[in-house]
Amino acid sequence: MPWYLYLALKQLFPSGRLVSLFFVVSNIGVMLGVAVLLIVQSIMNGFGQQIRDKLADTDGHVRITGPGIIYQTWPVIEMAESVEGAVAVSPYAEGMVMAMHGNIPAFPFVRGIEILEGEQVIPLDKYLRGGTMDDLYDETCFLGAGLAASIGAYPGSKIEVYSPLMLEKIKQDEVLLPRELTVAGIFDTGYHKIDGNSMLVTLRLMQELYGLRDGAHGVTIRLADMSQAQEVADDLNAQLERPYSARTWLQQNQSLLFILQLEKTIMSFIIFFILLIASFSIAVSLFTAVVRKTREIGLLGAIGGQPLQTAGIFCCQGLIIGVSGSLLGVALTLVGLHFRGYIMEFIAWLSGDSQILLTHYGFNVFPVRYEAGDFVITIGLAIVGSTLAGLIPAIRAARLKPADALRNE
Amino acid sequence: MSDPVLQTSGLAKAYDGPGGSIPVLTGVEMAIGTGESVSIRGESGAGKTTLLYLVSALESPDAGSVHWTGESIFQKSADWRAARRATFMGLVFQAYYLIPELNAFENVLMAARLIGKAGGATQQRAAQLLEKVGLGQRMKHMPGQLSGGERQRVALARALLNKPPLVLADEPTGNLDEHTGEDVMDVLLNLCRDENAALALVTHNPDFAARTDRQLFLHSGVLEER
Repeated sequence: MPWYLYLALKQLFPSGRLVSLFFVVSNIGVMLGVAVLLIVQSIMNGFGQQIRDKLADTDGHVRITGPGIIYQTWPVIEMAESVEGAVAVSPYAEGMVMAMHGNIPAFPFVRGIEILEGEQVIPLDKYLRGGTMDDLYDETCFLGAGLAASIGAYPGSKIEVYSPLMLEKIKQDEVLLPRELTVAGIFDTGYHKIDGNSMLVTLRLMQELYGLRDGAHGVTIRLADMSQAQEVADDLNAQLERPYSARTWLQQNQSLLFILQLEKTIMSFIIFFILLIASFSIAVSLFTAVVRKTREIGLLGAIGGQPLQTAGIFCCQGLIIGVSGSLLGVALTLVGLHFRGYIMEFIAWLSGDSQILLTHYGFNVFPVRYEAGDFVITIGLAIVGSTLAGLIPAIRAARLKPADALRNE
Repeated sequence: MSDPVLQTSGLAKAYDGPGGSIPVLTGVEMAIGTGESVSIRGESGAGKTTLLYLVSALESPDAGSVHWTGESIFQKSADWRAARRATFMGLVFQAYYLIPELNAFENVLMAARLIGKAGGATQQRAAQLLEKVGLGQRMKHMPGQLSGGERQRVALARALLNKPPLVLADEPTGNLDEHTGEDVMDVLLNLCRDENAALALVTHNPDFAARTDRQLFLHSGVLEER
């Protein structure tokens, strides 16, 4: 072992003692920096993934749209069904309506979907609270949990629906009769944008409400592997004639996904300063050590140590702290996130409200997703930061002339 | 006749001061033979430590030359001097300069680690040297657990580990009481004699100086033999 590495290790793990205080404190700094950064990134990834999954679930993976209304949907459906990996294909129609429950009005966004045999384009089953997909027919509807709460509706409630087409009829002095629907179930995706203002009906009902005859606004495709969406959309666009086009769920939600990514980047950037502070603390401690050990450094030079080797003592210490602090940080992250349920329970207990997270955020336990890239970048930054922290005092140590160092009082 | 272990010729050194250059050494002529012990005395500020730093190549002279067994060292590179110094000379200082994170044995062995020769035989020699200086039972003790005299003995063992032909000691008893100082001096002189190492001893103590083969006195920048 090179003598400077030996001495670096001895200064961190002195003979007769398990470990030096400097090592412990520095490691805690790096460990906390790494852990906080990884925990936040992993939770942000979890949230992002949850939102992505819900977007993909509720929008379908690829959509084909045309010139407003597609009256002849079967050629488009046939083309969509021929796509490799397509597990469900269905036309859809969507738009705004006015819904009244009692005397409480709402203006939900309604989507008319076709109930398929087997796999559905929108796997609504897993989000339904009360009711099943079989309960959806032309006289019933599903309401988003937020919407249902805002108009005070629940399964079995009757609501009246007015479409823009009906308003058109008012202009022609026709008698306006709303469509009465029974609430067959409530869906709760946990995503407020959807749950707060959405309503699901059959495609046939939506065609009737919007006067579409047998037409639809587009065709939705669900794929076995949603990561193939872009490839599938590209293939379809190569076959489709203008104004028909295919768009992936990622393209449809580009702005939201960009904000999610931006949010993660900004949070990571802010929290990165914790790592910088930890590195700075290491630099200060090592710099103090260089000043304190000036005469020992002089002695090492006097008895044969080369300046760069002497500098190596402090660089190696920074590197060792960076590596060990990072590993501890990763361990703390994995343990902390593994037991996050208990931590959340503790927070709920402290706040005295066990439903606090469910009420405000729609979950009881943080969603978590580990991404190798986050770990590599964070560990890399921590190690580079700690090593650089050792470099500054190392340069000072290397520049000390043995005679001057030995004379130092 | 073989070359002296250490030889200087016309060695001069001056330091910059507020009022201009301050000459410290003006032409030091010195030669120390194999196994010979020489004491260097002089008033405070006479340049004794500067002389040791020059002959050990820790500093460069303004003029003159230093030869280590016939080799003019300032004609060689700094890296060469640093590497050669590790095996050519043992250095002992007034303040011991032990590394606080290493125990006595590890401190002694550090001199060999620096030249990459801390194998089994060297470890045995380190243990023997510590036995010789009377610290055989205290090898695992940390510097903080040793007295001043014991620390200086560890420093002596470290200085002699690489079997250097020359030991330079800069007031090695300066921090010790009279009795402990005498013990350390006994150990130093005996070790150098046993190892056949030449010794250049800087000291203020005339009794210690009298125990060396030759006594030199540094005055007005030159060495005089007395």
